[in-house]
Amino acid sequence: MFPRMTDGSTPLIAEETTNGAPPSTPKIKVVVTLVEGADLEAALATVERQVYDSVEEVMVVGDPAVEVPDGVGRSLTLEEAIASTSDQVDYLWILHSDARPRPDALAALVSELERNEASLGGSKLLVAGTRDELESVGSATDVFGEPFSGLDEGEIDLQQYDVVREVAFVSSVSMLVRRDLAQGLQGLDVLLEPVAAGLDFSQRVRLAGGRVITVPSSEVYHQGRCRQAGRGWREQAGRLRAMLKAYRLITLAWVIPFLLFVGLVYSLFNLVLLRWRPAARHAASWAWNIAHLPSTISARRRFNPVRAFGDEELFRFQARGSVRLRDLGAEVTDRLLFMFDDDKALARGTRRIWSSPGIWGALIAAALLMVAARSIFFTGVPNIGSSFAFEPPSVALSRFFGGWNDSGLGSPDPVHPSAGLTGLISFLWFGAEGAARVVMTIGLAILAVLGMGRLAGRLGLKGPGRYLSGLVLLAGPGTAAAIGAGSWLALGAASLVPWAVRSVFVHPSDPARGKLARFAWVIVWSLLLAAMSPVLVVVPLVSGLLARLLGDARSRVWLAMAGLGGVVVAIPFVLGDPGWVLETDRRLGLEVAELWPVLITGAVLPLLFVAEGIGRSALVGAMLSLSSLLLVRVPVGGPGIEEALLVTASFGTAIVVAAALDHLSFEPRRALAAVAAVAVLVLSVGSLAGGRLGLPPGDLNERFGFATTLAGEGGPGRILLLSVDRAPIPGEARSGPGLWYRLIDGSGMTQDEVWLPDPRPGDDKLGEAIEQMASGSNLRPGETLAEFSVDWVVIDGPESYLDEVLAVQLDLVPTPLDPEARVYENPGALPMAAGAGSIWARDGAGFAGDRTSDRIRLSVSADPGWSPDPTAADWAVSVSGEEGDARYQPDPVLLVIPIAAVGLLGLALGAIVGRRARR
Amino acid sequence: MKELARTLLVVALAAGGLAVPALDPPQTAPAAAVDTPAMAVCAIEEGSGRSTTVSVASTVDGPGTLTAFAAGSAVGHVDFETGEFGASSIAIADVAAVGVGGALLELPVSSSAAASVVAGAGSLSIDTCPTESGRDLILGGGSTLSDQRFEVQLMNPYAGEAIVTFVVQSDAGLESNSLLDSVIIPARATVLVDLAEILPGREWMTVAIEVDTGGVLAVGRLGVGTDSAVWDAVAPAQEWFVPVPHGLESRQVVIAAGDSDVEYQVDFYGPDGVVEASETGEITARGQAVVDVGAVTPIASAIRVVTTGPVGAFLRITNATAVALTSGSTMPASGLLLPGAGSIPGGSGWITLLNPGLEDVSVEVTTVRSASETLVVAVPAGEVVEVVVARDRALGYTINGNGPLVASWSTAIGGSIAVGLAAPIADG
Repeated sequence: MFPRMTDGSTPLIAEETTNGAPPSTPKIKVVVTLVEGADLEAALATVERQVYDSVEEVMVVGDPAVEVPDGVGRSLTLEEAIASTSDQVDYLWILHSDARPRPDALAALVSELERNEASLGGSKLLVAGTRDELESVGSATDVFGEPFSGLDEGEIDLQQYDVVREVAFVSSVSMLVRRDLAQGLQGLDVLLEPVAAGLDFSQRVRLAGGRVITVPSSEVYHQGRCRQAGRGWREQAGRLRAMLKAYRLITLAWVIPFLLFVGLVYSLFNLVLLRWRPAARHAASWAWNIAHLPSTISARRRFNPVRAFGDEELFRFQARGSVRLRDLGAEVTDRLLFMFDDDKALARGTRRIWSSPGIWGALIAAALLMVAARSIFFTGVPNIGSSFAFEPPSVALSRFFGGWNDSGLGSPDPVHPSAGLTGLISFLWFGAEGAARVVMTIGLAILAVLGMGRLAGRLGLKGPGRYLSGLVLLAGPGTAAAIGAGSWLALGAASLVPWAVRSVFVHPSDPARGKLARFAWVIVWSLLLAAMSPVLVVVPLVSGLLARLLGDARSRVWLAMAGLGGVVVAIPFVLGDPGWVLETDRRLGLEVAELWPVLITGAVLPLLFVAEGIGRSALVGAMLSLSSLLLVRVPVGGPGIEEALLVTASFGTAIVVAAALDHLSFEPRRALAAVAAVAVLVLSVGSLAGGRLGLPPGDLNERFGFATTLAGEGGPGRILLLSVDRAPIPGEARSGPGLWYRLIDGSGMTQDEVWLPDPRPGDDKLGEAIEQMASGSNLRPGETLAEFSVDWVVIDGPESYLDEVLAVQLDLVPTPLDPEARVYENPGALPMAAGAGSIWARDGAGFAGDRTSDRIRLSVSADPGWSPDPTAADWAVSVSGEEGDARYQPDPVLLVIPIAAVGLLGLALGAIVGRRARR
Repeated sequence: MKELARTLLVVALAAGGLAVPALDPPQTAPAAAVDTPAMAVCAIEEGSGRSTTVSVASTVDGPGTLTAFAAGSAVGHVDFETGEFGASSIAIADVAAVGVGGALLELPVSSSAAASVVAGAGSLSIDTCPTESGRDLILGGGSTLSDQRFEVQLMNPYAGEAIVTFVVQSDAGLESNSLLDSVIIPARATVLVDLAEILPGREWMTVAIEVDTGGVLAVGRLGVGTDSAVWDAVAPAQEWFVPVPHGLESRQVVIAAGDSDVEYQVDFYGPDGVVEASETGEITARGQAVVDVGAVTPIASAIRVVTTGPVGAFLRITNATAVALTSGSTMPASGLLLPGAGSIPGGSGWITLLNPGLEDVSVEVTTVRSASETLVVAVPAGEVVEVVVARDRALGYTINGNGPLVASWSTAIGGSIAVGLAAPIADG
């Protein structure tokens, strides 16, 4: 304990009664409640030292096994202790055994209660063992009983609250209560934890007509053992019980639903932050109260005769709104600010905001990002290139877990792992896959900027470029090309790369803590990254190794190696379609302007001659970007490699920009680097000007909406899209004679259809049909395409010989449904699923219709996984129609890896949550 | 030292990125040659005392279909087999009553040809049915003088509508009439453009048909007295061969120019052998030149027209009461089909063979019927030989030589005359 100043609020009685109390001095009984682990003798000694002399009796309440000194009474329960109090006693001083009151604490309480004609008074609580850190000076609550002290965490007592005032409640750690009132109210509720007990008692006192005040001049140091021993949910449950006991029924009628809502919101928010305890506490508190409802009702009944005022008396001392929601809002604000302001500039004060080097860069980046995403806010994410709508979560997840790959004519080959991620996000977004896509896209862009900022911070870069470099990540040399060609996944992958790389670098001030959690974060980020772009999982390893080779001690090779584990999520896809990694002729052939390497070199070279840390980071970035730009020109590897190299090129460039703009000065080398970096930044931002985060304009699904609108009984079939140019064909395309083509789903292309699985017999036959059609030798191409359920043939791109060929055929009817493309209807196309007398429609990932004894031919590639009773019908498959439903049953072996990936993710998240919970 | 090494590394990587050429964009598989589908579209006419017989000749025994179309739909359909003789004959009256319309023939193979023979009282026309539509077609030989009815029949058997624009040049100059602009031919329909009504009193006219949208096949229909002629609009070319049968009628070759001024040269294959550059001259854009072969010789002959720009060449045979027209050929071939040749009962007929090559050609002329006959004739280089069609009725003729040939078939019955060009046998 430390010496304290005293002031005018020092109690009068204490001054007047140093040599004994006058006859009118109120008589006191001290009731010390045992707290587990607290030193009772010390507590009694502090009582002994009190300067107030009219202490009639000291009694200890609690465990009978605990010995008490002679002259000190014993009681098992507080209720019993109160009941046994003589009428000679005026006040009861209820004190926890872990409380250490100053010698004048009791005198101050008595004095102020007498002077203010109050019935209940509480001491000012200070945290024991600190330099007068405030714990409580009486509290207000909200209508739900949630305490609101108004104190900041760690706030020091400078007597700023030293005013005697009425409060909603005082803590039961040290309270003085009129004996008659305590007996009338039957004391504290023994079922409640200390704070809740204080609240409950205070409320009953107030409703019984008493005044509840806080007496700051009565100072008590509190060791807090009662709180350590107490369980949080019990406090919460106690507050609920206090409410149930005190409020009238009409108040409870509206308070309880609101409380449920607030609890739900609070729990969900915390679950999002991987904190499960609030939800558990919420559930437990309700369960406890339900279990104790009979005793609560009894207590209400006992209290009703004493009640003198309505609930309005309580409302007078309650804070508006919900304290918990207010805390939640504050936390959200803090977290948002921390994303951009991890050096706490905002917290330091607005006048010094601009002294934070990252803040204005972050604000500019955020503003530019909003401009760059403006069209997405208003019109959604474009459906073009390789960016398409998500499937409903159940369908997407079923495909991820070995389900039917519906791209083209269909295949049992695994879908791209991003289907699992998009399905999961859609599921978490309440199944609204359209909204989830918009939110995810915007979120990914924000994540990119934040990720670069945080990564740069981890690399020791603090300047304005750290967040601005996020824009370079989104629209740098590689991503501008990839996203500009419509690759939504390039956007997603780029956004995750800095986080994955950051996870293999440890903070220099925190090198040894939380290894398991670090591993977990590495696994989480690498799984997400691999789901977006499998090949990119090597980038954290490469980055870590490069940094380590260049002498950066922050990178951890063992973490980087662990990151390779993320590729597990993509193994089925890569093994199912190795050409995606290996076949160069499947690349998009995206070209990066030759100006980029020049600018990157211009930005990095001067930095090699300045401070070691910045130069090293810049060199790592330059090696990543320049080697990627070099390798992307080498004809090795398929589209997966191309995509990864392009994203890596932008990622490396972003690091260079962050380093070059880390410290702006007129020093020639830094200025030169900054000029080149700004040029890179300007070029990058330029490609975001369209307002779609660099994605191209257009909506193919909207353009081809006629396929749904004009669909027959069996729903939309397929669209055969042809072009002599590669660009108009979305996703992957197959090469035909002088043309590109692919099938797309007439009901609208979805993200899982971007990749075409390996050709199967149906695909070969379709290729032959297209070859025949393109040769002009087939007068009835519609008849040939009918078996593939091609309802529509669309020629996009420039006019070509294809137009001439299709102008002179007999059964594809040109229909002016699109202003740009030439659309031909195929009236004779077979439905996607039909038998002799019945037509089925798509139903999720399968087909459904009326039960029939006919066999139903499904216009999908033959595979024995279809059920029931599948048989091959040429390249297609037919199933029994007796069940009215056709589903694909995945091979159980194929489920192992997706389940392992999800299990790994679950374990990693579990480790992270566990660590957070321990905090 | 360390800085220098790092600088070199960065520069090397950047230089490598600039030095290595970018990958070529992905390439498609090589484009296949565009084939002509095994089809033909014949102008047909039923009623007004006239009826049409469509004859098919093929190198194979295979199935085919004939679909008569008019007013946007198929009005009649018949399947046929070319049989062991490789020929078939279909009376349109048995298929549909269509008036003036079109018939789409889906032939067994590309090496097939069809011809329509329209016969009536005092009227006969032969047309070797066109097999493919073109973006630009040209039609010469028409006239709208008071005694002549000149129509252009546009046939669209395809699934999509076609839109064409006429550019007509006549002795009155370049014609302008809104009825000639953006003429719509609905899918599976024929449209008759009556030039005699739109542009009456023109002594000659060159009709260019520019296809804006879709595909269309066109024939000219010229009526003189009771007789009529049907002949194909053709894609302009720079070399034409026109066999000219013997006769006392006016026999003229009309050279109709395309959209540019051209110089032309006529090589004449007459009784004295080939006379190169027997006539030369210049034709203004959309204009025409007429080579009056009949004025030179009454015997079978031929001409070759070579020009500096695309033109069409047409043979027009007329007398006071009859008219016959056919387009020339751009493709001499060793194998030729003459569907319908010899199918006119009671009519006389000739097959005119031109050997435009430099070598003599031995030719087998075979009658296609149950009792086929083969006549072997020799056609000296640069000469024209005429073969009389057998009197017994045939489904057609095939001509096979050991060198390039151009042939036509002409016939006369009563006061009517008709001429049709032999179709070269395509691969397949």
